[in-house]
Amino acid sequence: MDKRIPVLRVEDLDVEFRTRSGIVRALQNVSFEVHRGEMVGIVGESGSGKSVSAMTAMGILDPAGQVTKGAITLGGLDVLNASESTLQEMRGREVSMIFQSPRTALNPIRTVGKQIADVLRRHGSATRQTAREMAIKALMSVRIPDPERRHDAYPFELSGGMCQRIMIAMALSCRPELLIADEPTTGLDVTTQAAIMDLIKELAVERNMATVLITHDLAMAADYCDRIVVMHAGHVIESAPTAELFAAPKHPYTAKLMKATPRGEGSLDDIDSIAGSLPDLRTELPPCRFSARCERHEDICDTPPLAAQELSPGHFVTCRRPL
Amino acid sequence: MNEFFKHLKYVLTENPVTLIAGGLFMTLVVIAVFGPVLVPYDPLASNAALTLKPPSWEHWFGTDQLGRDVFSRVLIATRLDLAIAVSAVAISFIVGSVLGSLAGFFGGWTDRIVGRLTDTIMAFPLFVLAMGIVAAMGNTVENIVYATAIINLPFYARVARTEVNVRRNADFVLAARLAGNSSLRLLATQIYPNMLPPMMVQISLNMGWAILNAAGLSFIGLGVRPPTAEWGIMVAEGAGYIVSGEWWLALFPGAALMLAVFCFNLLGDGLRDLIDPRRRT
Repeated sequence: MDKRIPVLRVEDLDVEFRTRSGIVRALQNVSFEVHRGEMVGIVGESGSGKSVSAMTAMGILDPAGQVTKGAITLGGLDVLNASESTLQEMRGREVSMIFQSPRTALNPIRTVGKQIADVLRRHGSATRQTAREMAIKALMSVRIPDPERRHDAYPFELSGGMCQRIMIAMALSCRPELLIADEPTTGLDVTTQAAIMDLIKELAVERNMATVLITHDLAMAADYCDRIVVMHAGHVIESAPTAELFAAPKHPYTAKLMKATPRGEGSLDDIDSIAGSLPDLRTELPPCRFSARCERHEDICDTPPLAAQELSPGHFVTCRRPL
Repeated sequence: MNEFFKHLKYVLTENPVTLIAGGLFMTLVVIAVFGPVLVPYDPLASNAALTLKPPSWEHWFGTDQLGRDVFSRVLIATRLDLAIAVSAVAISFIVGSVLGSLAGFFGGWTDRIVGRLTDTIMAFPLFVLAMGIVAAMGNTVENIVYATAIINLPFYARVARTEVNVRRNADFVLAARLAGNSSLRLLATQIYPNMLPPMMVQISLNMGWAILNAAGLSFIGLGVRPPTAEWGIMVAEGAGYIVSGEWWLALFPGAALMLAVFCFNLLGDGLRDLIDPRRRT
């Protein structure tokens, strides 16, 4: 295992949501690490806990949610026990986030330049005089043509891809250590998707920044990430370097997920679907939450505890009967 | 600033209704500001020889029962009526929008307390409530302002609460939170400005009501007292003479009142267009 200190370390995290119809165990024993200069992909179906993990790491959890166990360390800071003002200092400066639907993520009645300047001034790296200049520089860094003019544009005057570039400029304006990209290309057309991902990758490499890419697009994760964490129903079921994961997936779910991903070749008939759906997280569940959908399920799978095992260096899998 | 005037010009020329309303509004403001300079006669000077004269070249709107020039009195009254309406609306806008935003943003107890407060105010017939407030607090112009502000407060609180509530979980608010802003800062810099365009419409409509309300209170003898020139009192005083044929006493101040309310009702959309950047296309 890597001996360097990770930028983000999530250890044994449990998160529960109290709802009217019972307690939802949204995350259980979630652990992963992100190192400097590395891009880690978190993949999984909708509702598998990808975004909840990211939000918890930023110290923003819905009031109905509660961390019941675990620890999060971000750049040396204990996120779960930090005061709100410390977290506010951290957000935007140490860690930033971009998410899907860039159009709604920008304030509709302020010019984009002002919004970038807000972030710069919030963290004290710009004064009223230098804000404009720095905002234009930030726009240039995300390859926006004619940044002088775009600076004074309102979000509704720009395309979706342009808005996402501006979100990236905003997120990276204070040179954070960690960028969390939560499905950054959802809602963009395919060519724009590639351009945005290339841009994120390029900036991440250039600044030696740690990046978390949250996506349900396995193909995209394969193209850009150094390591991939697969989540299912609030569990991390497998994590491995990208090449290794794709060469030899160890968890049945990961293998199924890969078969279900269109790869550009072959016909649509070759694509498998995964039977069943995510289990109801409000009910008592067996140690392996995939067991009900798993073809390799046997009695041994139902005996707790189920812990992650390291099959080869850096390749973890949470399964009694790995492939 | 230059940008603003360019946009103002655009908004005015795009919609003829806004142009009319804007023109009326400017006229009202000019009269309110320069009224004392513009009037041909002293609005308070009575003249026993000239009582109840119909409109003529000397007295455009005629004279009243004390021989005072109705035209001068209508002009002079503009300042008082607008001042009451503007200050009342300003108070209810500021207090109401702040209370409503807090209720919409924080929810829970804040929301419940503000909600019940506005419900309580709304439970009264508003004009009767205003009468009660002025009667209890004393018969002064300030109290008319406060009474008008209080009865209008719920409308602002409610609009603000709804507008804030729908944006509380908007992505751009989340983005700003993730950039390290505190809740109050989010409310003040991200959400509050977004709520201004719909509030502008409310303000403008409310100005009309506030003028009517102030005039109504004076009409029934509360608040402004004779011989002060005020549209409501003038209509009240003139009302008694309509039966005997001296229609001009009530008609002209009544018409002024109507024009002012009309102007503010039309102005709302224009104001919203002016403040909302999405209209700048």
